[in-house]
Amino acid sequence: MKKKLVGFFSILVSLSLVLAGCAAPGASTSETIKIGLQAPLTGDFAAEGQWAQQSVEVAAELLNKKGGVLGKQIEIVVVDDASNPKDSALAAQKVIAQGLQQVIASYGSSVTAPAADLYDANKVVSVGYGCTAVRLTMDKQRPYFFRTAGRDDTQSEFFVKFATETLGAKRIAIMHDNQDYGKGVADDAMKFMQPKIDAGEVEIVYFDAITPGESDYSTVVSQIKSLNPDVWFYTAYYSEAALLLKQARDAGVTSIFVGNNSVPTPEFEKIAGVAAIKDSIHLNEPMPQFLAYPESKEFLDAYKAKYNELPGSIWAVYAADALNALAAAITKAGSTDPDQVTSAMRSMTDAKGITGPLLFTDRGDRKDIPYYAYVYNDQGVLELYSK
Amino acid sequence: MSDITRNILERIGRLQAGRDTASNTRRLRIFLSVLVVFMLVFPFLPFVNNYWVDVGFLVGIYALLGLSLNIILGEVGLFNLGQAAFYAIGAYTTAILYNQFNIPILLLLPISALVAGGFAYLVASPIIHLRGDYLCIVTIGIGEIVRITALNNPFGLTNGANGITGIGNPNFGLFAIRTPTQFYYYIWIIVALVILGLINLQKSRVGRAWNYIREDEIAAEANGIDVRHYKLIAFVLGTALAGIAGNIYGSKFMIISPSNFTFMESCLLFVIVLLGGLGSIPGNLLGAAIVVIFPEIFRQFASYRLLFFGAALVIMMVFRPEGILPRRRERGGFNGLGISKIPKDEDALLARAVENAATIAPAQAAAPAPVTARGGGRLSDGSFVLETQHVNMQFGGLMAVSQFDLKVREGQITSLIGPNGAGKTTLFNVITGIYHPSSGKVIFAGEDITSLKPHQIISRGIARTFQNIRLFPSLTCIENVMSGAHCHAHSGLFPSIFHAPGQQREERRILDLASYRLHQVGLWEYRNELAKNLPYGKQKVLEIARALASGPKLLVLDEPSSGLNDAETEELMGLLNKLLAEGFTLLLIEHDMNVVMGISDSVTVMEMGSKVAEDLPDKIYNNPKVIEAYLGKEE
Repeated sequence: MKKKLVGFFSILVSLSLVLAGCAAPGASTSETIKIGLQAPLTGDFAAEGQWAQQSVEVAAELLNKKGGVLGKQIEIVVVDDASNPKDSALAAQKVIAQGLQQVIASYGSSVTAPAADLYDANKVVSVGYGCTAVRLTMDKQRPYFFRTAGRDDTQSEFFVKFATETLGAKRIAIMHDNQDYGKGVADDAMKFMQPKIDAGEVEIVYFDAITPGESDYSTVVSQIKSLNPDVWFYTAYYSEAALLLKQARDAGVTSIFVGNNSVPTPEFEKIAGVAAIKDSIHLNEPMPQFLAYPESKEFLDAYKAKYNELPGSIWAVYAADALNALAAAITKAGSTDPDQVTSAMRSMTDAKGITGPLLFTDRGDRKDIPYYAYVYNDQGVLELYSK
Repeated sequence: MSDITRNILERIGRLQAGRDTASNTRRLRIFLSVLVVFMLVFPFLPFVNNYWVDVGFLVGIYALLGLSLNIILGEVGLFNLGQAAFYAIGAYTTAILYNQFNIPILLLLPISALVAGGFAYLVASPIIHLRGDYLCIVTIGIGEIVRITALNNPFGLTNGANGITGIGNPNFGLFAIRTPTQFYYYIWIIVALVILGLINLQKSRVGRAWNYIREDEIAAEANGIDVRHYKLIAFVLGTALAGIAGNIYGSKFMIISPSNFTFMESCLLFVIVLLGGLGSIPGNLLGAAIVVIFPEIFRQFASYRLLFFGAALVIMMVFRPEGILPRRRERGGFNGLGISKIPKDEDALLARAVENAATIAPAQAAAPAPVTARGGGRLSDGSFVLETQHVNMQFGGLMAVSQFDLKVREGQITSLIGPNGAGKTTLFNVITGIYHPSSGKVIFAGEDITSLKPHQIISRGIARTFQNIRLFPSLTCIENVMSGAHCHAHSGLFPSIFHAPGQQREERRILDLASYRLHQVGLWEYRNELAKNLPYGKQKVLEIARALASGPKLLVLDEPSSGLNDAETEELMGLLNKLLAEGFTLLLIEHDMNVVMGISDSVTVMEMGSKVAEDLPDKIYNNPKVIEAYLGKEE
């Protein structure tokens, strides 16, 4: 019996040691500035997590090559949130327990939310990179939370500006599919359009839903044809978009077709065909390869040199920019103190990132986030739209 | 042979008793107190930061979820692979009601349990009779339906894939539970309360009924367990606990989304229960700890962590297929039954039980029939206690029993004989309610019992044994016999959870009765042995003891002597005669002609589903029709 008790205690002690080994030492050390990266390294979005990690590491190397921040090298501490709110809270606790004061977190709005709450309560500056739900910044004020990605309504805001100012449209049709995403984009577009409608500058001639999954959209097409809007904004998915556009062009509809960011895909091109997609315009978050900033080129070159490929998704690039934003704010504040860093984040004017200027609103949203319009050329290849 | 086995069993029994009762309980106590102290001070240990406190919290959540599934899967053996659905319903109930009506989280705790349990009742009622893999598939379906419903955002309530945010903290007056440490204690206090309730429940009539069902559903039903009722109780109770877990989860993480309640989550809970051992509470806690802590430790290996975790599961299941900490019923003796105020010495208990036999055995009070006209006498005109009237039992095109009139006189032994496949067991199944006849009636003590279910029939006073032994193999002998008394007890769920005084009185009576019957058939020394460890002959007798414990007027035995050697058959005949003297009426199916002729008062012969003859034993012997049925027609 004694032997067993001894055995039990030795297991207890060794378990304690394992736990102690996992828990890292307290405050951040003085030689480096440690910045956390919370990413889905396992789970359904493990690829996004890996891309984010690679991008952030490349960005950190670039910063360190230039002498780091405040004369110190940057060290990235990666924690896994498995793309799930429960693990996200645990990951946040891990970051907090390590005494980090800045963290890049995270991918997915519902994954980011619990972590952002914990970071906020513990005064850790967190910058989201793959979380676009409006509520993250608008439901309640989280003083220590920022994001480099746009919001779900950024695209709609951009569309209104693009359609009325760049295209000069007066009569606009908006078509959605009554599903979460498509309806959301359409509703937001209406919201941003409202002042212009009230001012009599534009007219919404059509606002309705199509039924997803059908193969014949001739009724809708003839409706659009008779209305003949200047711009026809389609906010849902690519497969219906391809059929709609093909049938509309065959029927002689000449309105400018504007698709949202889920339309321009290889499948869309294949189903609709070059003739139909020619001159159709699509809105999208620009990948760095489409941007002319020197920072974009520098980042891409370094990334390609290291991994021999382009970043896998725009969100990974936003993660790299989250690091750039934090680095700029720390430099501006002259300290890693969370309160000073947050006020620096809000008042930055000249911080440059891979995806454009890094400016933030009081609520922590990114200001003037670049959103681009692309157009299919005669060969059916996507090009930046320029008038 | 039986002497040798008995000898070995005795030795094993002595060994276990010596090792278990004294040092084992003490060691267990020390271990438990060390564990409790460790858990109490855990948040304040030097290396424990909020991260590990949260891990401790998650172990608590999964322990609660594991316990909730353990009731359904572990205790009753219902394969429920949709437990996450009820967890989700608890969480969504809390989130929606809090956000819409601002109801305090703590008040939502019981409401979440009620909604989850109520929903479980609605969906389980029509499917609870399904067995094994069928139930498994249906519950997977329920799990997916709930998750996808939440994903589709009905009436704008669930907010689709994004989930619901802004769930508040539980408040005790001014004291709010906010920090990881507070949540840690909160969940573990609830887990501790649930465990206390479950331990009491395990050691009660309700818990035993659940285990009887898990071990053998048909035998349980035939021994007076309302199978459907007890399955539903377990299902509703288990899912209500999952609802509580959902409430706590939501208030802790302040966000819930359909991705928390996937099929994988249900599988994980399944793993917790199987890993720990079916129906084992300590095993459950260990399983929860493994399921939460292993992946955390392996997290640094990124994508490989689940591989490690999976490998660890495979290894554990290979080496401990019963689970890591299976429940050991055979240890601890009668103490393990959780009945208060019983004599420490089990033999003293037996002595008391035998002394009070007259008051605890219902059949004896109702034993008026004079034992007359035995053997070569004439058929007495005593009243019929059991009569089947024109019973037909048809399976598809096969007429297994046709127009059968069986008459059993009170206070006699009636034997039913006939060649193999004559339909004898089918007739028994009709009498005991396992089959309902295609037409005809079964009258018992003046009452029409044709359409009653088996558990109702045993409470009317017909108890039976089975041709192929149907004991509850992983339960002890005393627990097996206690099942017989189930139908005359009444304590429900709540008295059982709290071990109320009335419930304890009832349990003591059941134990006395079971002890008396176990002793009567000569198996007292095996009382704490698992039924499956008994030799075949003893198992047959144990089954008779179980039937006797229900205090039946009529005892229906299906081939009691088959597989017994001569000595055992002799003992059996002695026992049956004793029972007759005690006032029981007996109905047998028997092949051993020595037994039939030796003890029967009346013999009915069945062939091809029909009655061939009914007479005194010695007259049956020479009846040409009977000879023809057995040996074929003389040319």
